[in-house]
Amino acid sequence: MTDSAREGRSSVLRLTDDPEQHRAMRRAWPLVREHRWRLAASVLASAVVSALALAVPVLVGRAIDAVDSADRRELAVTAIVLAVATVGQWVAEQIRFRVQAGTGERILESLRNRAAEAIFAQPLRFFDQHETGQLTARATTDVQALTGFVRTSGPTLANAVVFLVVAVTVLGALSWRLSLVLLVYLPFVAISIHRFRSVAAGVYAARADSIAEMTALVSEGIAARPTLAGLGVETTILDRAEKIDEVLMERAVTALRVDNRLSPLEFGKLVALAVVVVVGGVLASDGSISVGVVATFAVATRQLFEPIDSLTQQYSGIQQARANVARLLQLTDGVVRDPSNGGALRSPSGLERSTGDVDADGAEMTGAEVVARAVAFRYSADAPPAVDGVDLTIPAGQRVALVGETGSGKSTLATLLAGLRPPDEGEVQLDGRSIDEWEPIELRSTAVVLPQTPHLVSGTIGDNLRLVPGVHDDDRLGAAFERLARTPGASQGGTAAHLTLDTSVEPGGSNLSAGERQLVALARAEVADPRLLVLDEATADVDPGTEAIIVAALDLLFAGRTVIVIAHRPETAARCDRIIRLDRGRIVADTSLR
Amino acid sequence: MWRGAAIATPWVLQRAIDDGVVADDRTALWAWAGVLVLLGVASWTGDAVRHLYVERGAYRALVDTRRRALAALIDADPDRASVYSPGEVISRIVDDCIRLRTWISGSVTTVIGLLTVVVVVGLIAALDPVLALVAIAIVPLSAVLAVTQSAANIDAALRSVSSAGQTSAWIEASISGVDTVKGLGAESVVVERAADRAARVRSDAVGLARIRARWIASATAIPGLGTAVGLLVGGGRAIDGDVSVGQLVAFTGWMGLLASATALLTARLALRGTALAAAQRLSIVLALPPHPASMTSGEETSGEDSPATTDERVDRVASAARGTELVVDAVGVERGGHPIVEGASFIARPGEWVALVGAIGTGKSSLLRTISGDLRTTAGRISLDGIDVSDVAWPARSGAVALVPQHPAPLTGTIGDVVRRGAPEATDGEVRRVLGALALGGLVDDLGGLDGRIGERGRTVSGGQRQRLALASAILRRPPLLLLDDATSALDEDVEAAVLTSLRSLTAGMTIVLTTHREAPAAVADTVVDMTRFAVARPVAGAVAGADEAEGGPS
Repeated sequence: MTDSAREGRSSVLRLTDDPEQHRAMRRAWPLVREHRWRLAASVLASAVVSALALAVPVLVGRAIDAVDSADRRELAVTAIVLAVATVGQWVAEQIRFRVQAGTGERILESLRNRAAEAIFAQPLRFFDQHETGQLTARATTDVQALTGFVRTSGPTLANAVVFLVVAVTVLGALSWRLSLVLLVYLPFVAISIHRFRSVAAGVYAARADSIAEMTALVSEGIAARPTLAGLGVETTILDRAEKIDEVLMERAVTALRVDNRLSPLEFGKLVALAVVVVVGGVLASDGSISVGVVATFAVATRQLFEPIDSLTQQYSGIQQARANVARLLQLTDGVVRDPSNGGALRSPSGLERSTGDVDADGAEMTGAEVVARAVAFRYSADAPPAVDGVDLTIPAGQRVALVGETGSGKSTLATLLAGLRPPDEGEVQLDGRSIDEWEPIELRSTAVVLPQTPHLVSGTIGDNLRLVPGVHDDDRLGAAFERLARTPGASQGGTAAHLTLDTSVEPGGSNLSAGERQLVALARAEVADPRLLVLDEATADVDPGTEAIIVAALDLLFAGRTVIVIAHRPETAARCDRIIRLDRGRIVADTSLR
Repeated sequence: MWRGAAIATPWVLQRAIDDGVVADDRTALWAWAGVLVLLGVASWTGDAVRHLYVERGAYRALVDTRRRALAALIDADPDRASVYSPGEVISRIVDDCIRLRTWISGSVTTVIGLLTVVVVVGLIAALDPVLALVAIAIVPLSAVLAVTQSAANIDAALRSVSSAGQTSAWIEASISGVDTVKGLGAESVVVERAADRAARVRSDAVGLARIRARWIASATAIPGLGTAVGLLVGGGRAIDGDVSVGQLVAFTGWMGLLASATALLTARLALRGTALAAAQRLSIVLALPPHPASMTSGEETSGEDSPATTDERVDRVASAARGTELVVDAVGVERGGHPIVEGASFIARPGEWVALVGAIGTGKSSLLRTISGDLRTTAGRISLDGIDVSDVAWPARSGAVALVPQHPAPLTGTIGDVVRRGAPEATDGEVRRVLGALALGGLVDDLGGLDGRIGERGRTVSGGQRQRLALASAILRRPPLLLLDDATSALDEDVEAAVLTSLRSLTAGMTIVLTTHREAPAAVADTVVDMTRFAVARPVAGAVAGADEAEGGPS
């Protein structure tokens, strides 16, 4: 392997608070490209509504001309046409609203999904180096912040632009000279927007940062509350919140002042109206246009600039959205295929697990062989190596206990051997093939890692077992769970004896005991049925009945596969074929038990 | 001023058309055009001032509400606050506050919108009484529309907000449990289930949009029809000479204003659903019952009285603390409505070590949390040096006790800062001595000193190191009573033995109550209390919310 490739393995996407916003919206196009036809339909609907909305000033002009010539019939016809146009607009506007909402929500949905995909496609090292709160903010708050843009600013802006195009066409047809006069508004737009744009991006990004910082604080603060409360210093979270809020207020006010650089637009609108009246008056006295046309322009001018009324807010919304989009893009552009799973997030369609029929074809399952050659790993460039040059061969079917002090590198080595983290140096082979060469899906269905503290999702125990990819058959799931949780040796029960697939699980498994949570985690392994099982033994104490079930479950899981267990208890180590002791990332003892 | 300019514009326009264009008077034309430009100046400054002050107020409200919510959560009765998952809480404190800000920032616009309606109807009435009837007819029609649509809208909005919250909660939980997710290769399953939730967010949002579409379109159509009728009636009267052409233009201008004002008010009412939903969710957080003791005793004990901070020059490590005498007398504890401990009684004399032992479910951790004042007794009495614990608000905040949980939360920052969370005044020397005694000297060296940052959220620190960091923090606080909830459980036996030996000298004088399921900590205690005697038999699995595991679980 070349040096650069090696560097590529250990380098990981670093999220920054202030990512490059250059062409953010254009770079986001691939994310929304699949919705282009819906977008086109939205624009079309918008054009129809605009045309119908313009009927008002045009028909007002005609009505005034009818009044001028005292033509009552023409007046009545005009009024009826206006009423019909209004009803048409009522229908068209509902259609537009629905089409735009449908499009916008679909875009948001795909952004949500892309963000989630992008995060979970990252390698573990990425998670080591970012706060949970920061990642959550990136996947949820940043998308949530875009809803304002997608639901309001975006459609408003698009509708305003479409309206302007339609209006220029219609008004130009009525009087091109008076239409040209409207251009007097353009300098105001150009100057205001230029002054605004020169600073807006940075200012809005800074504000978004403060908000994200607060999310991170809340997130960490909630998790740390019990710990800090034990010390009696939980109120320090509030002190930190106050400091962040102070900065947020400052940045928010700066952003508001920047918004106000768009205020001259208000002035320009009335200047344009004044010029239309003067020029229109002169042209009308020439007789080159009717009073009705002047009225049409006067009414339309207001209507023309009405979308710009809200442009102040919309533009800041768009700037804000740019900052959010840039943050999102940093994530989705940075999808480094996780070497341990290849970023393969689509459900493996070909993979239907043979859950529960290990012996279905009569063949005894065999474990995988694991070989490590001069493997080293460190969590960051300046940290000491967590694993420091380990050479190790584990024959197929062997059960190995990793022991050593906390911080000796047991957990890290275990994740390296399972291919969950790529090593910085050296090579790990599974069944004689380098981890790099394994198909991600194949790798994770061969080697499964259970961490010390299992993550339980809310729902039922069944939902938790279905977290194992490729499992769809409930009967098999039930059978696997029964096999594990109802071992004959554990007939005396304990609390875990009552669990079924339908037992409900609250967020984080908070309604289950530590032992019950462990059992659910072990059941996942039984369902996944890997040839290499890596297990970080839980240390929390467990009631005796559940303990017996867990011990029986471990016996079942240990049979017929290669097992690497990070053992915290002597009895567990004694159940293995071999004990490897680590110290400061190196193997210091390797004892064979049988 | 800002809206005043907009309302005055049609009138000025009317004068410009009647006096300037129709009468063909250039002087009047220029004069009225000049007035329009002046209105422009007023509009410009008015808009800028309104924006700055209104939005600043809205941000202030955001910041204040959020801080109150955070404070309510931190002061909440721990028993009640733990029912919310972290993702849910984050969504409430962060997203709902932002939704409220958006709502508040529009509230001044609402008032101005209402004023606009009143003033414009008045102006049209002054113009022509018949046209005024048309304008007035619009108002009740729009009001009826708003009332009928608003209820359906609120329901839909509530659904939409809550499905968005569930999606956030799912992502947050999955990121926290990434070790499990990656270990199983469950990324695709997690992402698929997130997609299911995102699809629900979409369908709820589209459902909401349908309701709003009908509503908002109708809100524009009603004044639009009014304009058509007004044009027919007003045009006829203009032909009769009762109304001028300029007035007809002014009328359509005002009807336009009326339409945009009603549309704005309607949109505000529509948003009100979302805002109300957010407010409702937030108010649940704000109304979380505070810790009961803080209500009975009123005044909180000031941190200044903390024995750890009375004298900064005291060497925390060397000086012997004055231990508390702890009396636990026939105490009962409940969790989630189920009794867990009954009649627990023991005494810890000043400086004594008491070990609580017994299988899981015997309520060891719950009893410790009751002693620390986190949970309440349902029977009996706990006293510290003769003072009933339930009379003290937040005993831990006053420095009277400190509790080290079995699974301390990972904290971010330099190792020095993390350890000083409990004792901000501790000197570098003291911090180093305690860390050294707890066999963390190597970690400090590896990090290049106390200023070395421990990995984001402490992830690169192992569970055992995290336990010892929390222990160090508590020791430096020098509480007269130190509660250790299986605080050495993640340590290997060798390290545990070394830590227990150091602990004796580090905590000289302190009274210590510890829970354990191992032999070593129980062996070094002066008294061992078997909790099995006080335990209430545990009901069927899955039925008890949390009990001992509530705080350690998901992290």
